[in-house]
Amino acid sequence: MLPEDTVFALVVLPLLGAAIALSSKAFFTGKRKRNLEYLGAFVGLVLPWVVMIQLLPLVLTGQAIEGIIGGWHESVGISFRFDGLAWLVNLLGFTIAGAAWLYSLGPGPHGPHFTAVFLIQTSALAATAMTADLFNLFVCLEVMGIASYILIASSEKQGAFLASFSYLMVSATAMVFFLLGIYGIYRTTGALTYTGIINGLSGLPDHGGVVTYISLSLIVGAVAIRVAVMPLYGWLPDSHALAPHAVSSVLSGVLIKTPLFALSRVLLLVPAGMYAGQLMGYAGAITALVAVIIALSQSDAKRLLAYHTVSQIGYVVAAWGAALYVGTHTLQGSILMAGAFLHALYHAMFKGLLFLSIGTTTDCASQRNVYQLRGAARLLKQAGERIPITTITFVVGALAISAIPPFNGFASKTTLSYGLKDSWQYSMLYAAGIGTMASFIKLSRIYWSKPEQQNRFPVPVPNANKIAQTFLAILCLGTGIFAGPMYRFVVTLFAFGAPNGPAPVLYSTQTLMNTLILITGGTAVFLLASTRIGHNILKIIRERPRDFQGLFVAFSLGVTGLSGWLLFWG
Amino acid sequence: MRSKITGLFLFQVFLCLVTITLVLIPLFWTDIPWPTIARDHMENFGMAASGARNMVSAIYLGYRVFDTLGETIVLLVAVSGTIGIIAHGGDVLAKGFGDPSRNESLYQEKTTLVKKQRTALLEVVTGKLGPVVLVFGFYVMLFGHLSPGGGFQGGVVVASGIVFLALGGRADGSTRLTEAGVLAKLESISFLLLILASLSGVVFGGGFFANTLAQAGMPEVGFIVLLNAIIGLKVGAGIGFMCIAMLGRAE
Amino acid sequence: MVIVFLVLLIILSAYTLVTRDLLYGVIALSAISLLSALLFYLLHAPDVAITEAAVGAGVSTVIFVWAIRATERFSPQDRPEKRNGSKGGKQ
Repeated sequence: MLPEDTVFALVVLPLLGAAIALSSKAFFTGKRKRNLEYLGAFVGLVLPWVVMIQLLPLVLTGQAIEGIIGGWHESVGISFRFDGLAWLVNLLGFTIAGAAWLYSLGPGPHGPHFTAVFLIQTSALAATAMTADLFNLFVCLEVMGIASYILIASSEKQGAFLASFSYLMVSATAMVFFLLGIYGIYRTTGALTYTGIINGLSGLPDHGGVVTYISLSLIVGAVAIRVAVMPLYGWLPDSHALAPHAVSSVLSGVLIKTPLFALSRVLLLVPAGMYAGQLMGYAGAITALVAVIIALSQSDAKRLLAYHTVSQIGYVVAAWGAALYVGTHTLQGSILMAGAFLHALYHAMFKGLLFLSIGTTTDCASQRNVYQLRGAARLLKQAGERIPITTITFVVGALAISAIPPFNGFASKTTLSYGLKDSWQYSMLYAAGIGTMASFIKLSRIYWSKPEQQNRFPVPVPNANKIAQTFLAILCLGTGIFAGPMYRFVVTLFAFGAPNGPAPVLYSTQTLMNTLILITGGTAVFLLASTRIGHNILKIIRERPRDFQGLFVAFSLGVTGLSGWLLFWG
Repeated sequence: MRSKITGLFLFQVFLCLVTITLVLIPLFWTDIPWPTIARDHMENFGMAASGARNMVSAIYLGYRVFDTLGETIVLLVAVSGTIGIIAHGGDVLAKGFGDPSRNESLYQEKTTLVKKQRTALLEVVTGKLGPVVLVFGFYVMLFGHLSPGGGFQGGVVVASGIVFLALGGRADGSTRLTEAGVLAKLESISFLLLILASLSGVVFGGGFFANTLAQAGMPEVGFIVLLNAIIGLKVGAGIGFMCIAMLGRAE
Repeated sequence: MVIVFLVLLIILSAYTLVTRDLLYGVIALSAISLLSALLFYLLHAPDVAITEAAVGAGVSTVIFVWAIRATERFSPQDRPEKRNGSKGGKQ
């Protein structure tokens, strides 16, 4: 089999697994149905690893597998490109999807339909990573989106349908504008593949002028809604907080970042892309700080984690935007892009771990309010955990997100900060780091002291949860300890052609001093927030009115602003 | 009008419309000449490469078949999700909207209060028209490469035909096509067949989604007809299944 | 001819957004689909016209009508005083 075909196995194997899972529901019952469903999950989540390992030597040498699907002519067909970036995004997707599916075998929605839609979502992630065609990117984003709406709606919590529906509406509107952007680009260049677009644009006077800038800003704006940068984040807290726990971890971990990296392929090729990246980078830095302040005020545990997702995405977007602006062929650019991807990967691991641990804890205690839940560690012990696995995994996740060595969050945040030295974005990200520390001290309070009501009967913790959480915790620790080799691995796979410079030093006096300041600053902010005045300020922030039309006004203003920026600088 | 339309709301709507129009006007009023690359290629080589006279079918089942697979999956997920939500019944609907005033009994009382409002006219007409619509649907599906039509179009018409049969009082068992179980089986089998058709190119050489039938010696258009049939069955069974489920619930 | 249809489309869409009776809104949506199918035919795109007619004016309208039948017929924010009264005139 040619390498071109094995590349598509990454997309087709999960689809085959979904087809098997669906047939199991239609044809069989009972034990045979369950076995067939597990066979489908195996085909879809384990077999692709065989393909990934087989493809690794090829992408390590910097080569890319390119071609047209079906072998048609390049002016009309769909082209694909599987290189190091695609391999890395697939690594991210399959790791988190595997752990989350294992967790879903516990309480919460599961079954053949759930597995089938979950596998379809995974296959859409793989397809988004390796497409080199604008319209195919649109279709893959749509498939990813619709699978996630259904998965969110399958949760049995109050308000899940409304959250899923509002996400659906926001996303569908964004995709309409994405389609208009594709129209603009096709109108001027006559091609939809990335190489065709570049050839077409270079043949036009002024690289297409106003029409190209407007189309680009429509496309970037639509992806920005999907990626939830300020001020387009309004749909995220409800959907991620009310989804089932396994689905929350995949949504926060993978679905938020994949459109970003797929977009970077386009922006790296188009001349005006660096300015679009610059503006997105500024938006990302502001997102990181503002979202952390809102996160500090939340009372629902999962909603707090969802706002933290917005903040951490701000980190990734800030670094990604700066990387596009300075150019990834420079040393600083390659550090920034590698740092952005590493932070995306590590964030998926520790945020996934946090969602799963908090999910288990809140299910066990039947209480989600962080101001009222206390003594969860003791409740978990009563529920049958002899070794306090969930408490330990929560602590691992909290330390990782607050960037404490030796966990992986420290490695990626230090790499990012190294690339963004001496800029105002660096100070914003540093302040956001202090806020993160403070809010996780607040969240960890649910584990201390005694449980309030002694007569609450704790729900037992199933084994699937423990296995999934432990797996992710070990990954967090492992990637943190082996941070240096991970960095070199990512840079080799990206193959930017940047000069070979030294990797950012992780354990110097400077960085350890920064960590110490972070810890003290975080504790100080937490103590400040627990005072009377702090409490009242946070209450005002928490209960600010949010509505739907604000999101659309922000979107229209954002797109107009981006076109104006591109016109001005381009 | 409603009390929710305040001055602020109108201002926000106005702002949105004005900015979006400002952004979109240069997109549509430009002097750049229309591109002709794809049009010239399709005119010269389209029919020879794919064998179909209907260029639209050649595009979405030949050149861009991966996008069609994606869209078929979107339909599958939508149907699957709808069935899941319907199957849970009224209590999940009430909880899902987070509105405690919509309690379960509202849903139950509605379903028992709704009387069968079907008249004999409706039953006779739809019962007799059902098979005719089905035949038309299969025609549109299978002749998609020669005349306007194709898998999706034919599939939706077949689904309408299934709804006609279900409404036409044939629930006495004279046709198995309106049973939910049969439709679910059809849908999952056709999805599996679609994936296998895409993989056939890999197994027999030629790459992903390559035209295996052409390699075996059949005319090239055979692959398009096969894909039309599979997609049509899938869409028809899927939408029909969803309609039958809603019909059962709303009654 | 195309201009006339487009203007009609805009008017019908505005009506759908403004009306309080959801059933009337759904019928307006069905009319929008029918006009779109005619438009597509006039613009020399028969495949799209068949799809739009079958999906929009056919299956989609039927599904919406069944969904309204299973829930409420009127937009809820307009009748705060009639919450536990009879649910408007259906059928």
